Amino acid sequence: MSATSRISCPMCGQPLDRGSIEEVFIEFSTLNSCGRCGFGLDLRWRGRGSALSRPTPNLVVVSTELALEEQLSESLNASIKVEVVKEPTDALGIYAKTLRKEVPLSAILVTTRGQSQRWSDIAVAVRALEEGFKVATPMPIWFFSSAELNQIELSIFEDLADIYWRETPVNQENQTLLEVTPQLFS
Amino acid sequence: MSEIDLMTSDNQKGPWLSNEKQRVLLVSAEPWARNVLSLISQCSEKNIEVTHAIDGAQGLYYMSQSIYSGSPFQLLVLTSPLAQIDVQGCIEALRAIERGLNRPPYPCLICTADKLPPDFMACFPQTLHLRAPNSTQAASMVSAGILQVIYTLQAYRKSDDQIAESDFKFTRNQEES
Repeated sequence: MSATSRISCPMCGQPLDRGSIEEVFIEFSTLNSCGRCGFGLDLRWRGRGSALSRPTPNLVVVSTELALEEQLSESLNASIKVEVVKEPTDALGIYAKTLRKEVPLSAILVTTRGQSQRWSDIAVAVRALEEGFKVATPMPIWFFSSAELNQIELSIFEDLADIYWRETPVNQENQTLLEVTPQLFS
Repeated sequence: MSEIDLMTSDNQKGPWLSNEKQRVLLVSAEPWARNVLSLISQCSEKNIEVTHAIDGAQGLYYMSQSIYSGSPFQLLVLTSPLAQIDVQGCIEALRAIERGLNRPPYPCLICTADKLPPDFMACFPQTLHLRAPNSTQAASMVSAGILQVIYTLQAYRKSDDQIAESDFKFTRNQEES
């Protein structure tokens, strides 16, 4: 067992290994907190915490292909941190987290609807969250899919700002995303 | 609709109801919800403020706003069908936001005629599904369940534990039937 795995949060006991520490920005200071319970970690933890903390992503991709994270990171500017999740609701959670940190995402790219009933669910939820959190500028949401939208979803998308639907050939969603995304962030 | 007497004597008031104003969010598109709302408005005498959202998007907006402003709802009541985003989508989105913000889950009461996945309540903590045969009966269930809701709020406040399913005995019976 490595030395780091023995370190745990003094509040909840969560092992403080890679990805379980969050950085919280308060004015000009960066503090470390437990990713599970939010307990503020002592400044003595900062060096270790910074090394172990998961960077706040700028771009979240919803895809079943987790290898996209590495492929996309290579084709984008190094300052753009990419995180790939499998469910659209996971992307929503990350967006809420980044709003709390006041470093909102640049975009969400969706290639699968996961367990959601509709493609539009993630878009509606993101816009409602933004409205509730008084976010002035809506975050762009890009969909890459070969699916056909029904009339209800189309009308929902038409009512929402900054929603982009990119049709792709069947089973080419990830490939199209890899081709298009560098152009979006160039 | 039968009259429900919400008036109680002072010594019957729970500690939760007798203090500061508590908030309930009702997300429902059904016309009958207005009747329910007027009924629930009697709760104001018990320091319960009810906010009404007409679709899923507005419901999520109120939920997000309450988190942002630091004045959370004590209970969410959702009925189907909902426009924009359905009940299941609402709950999934809300739980995702709560996870992202490291917040404890809001207690939610879902009253629908829809069949939800069998593991729905297990997947989403603090969520109770009351299933009615149809939306009209769902309405009466909400009406009749108001006092149960209030009781749940009290129980939740007192114990700060998960909502005990046994508080809603009638629900299971109806679902099984």
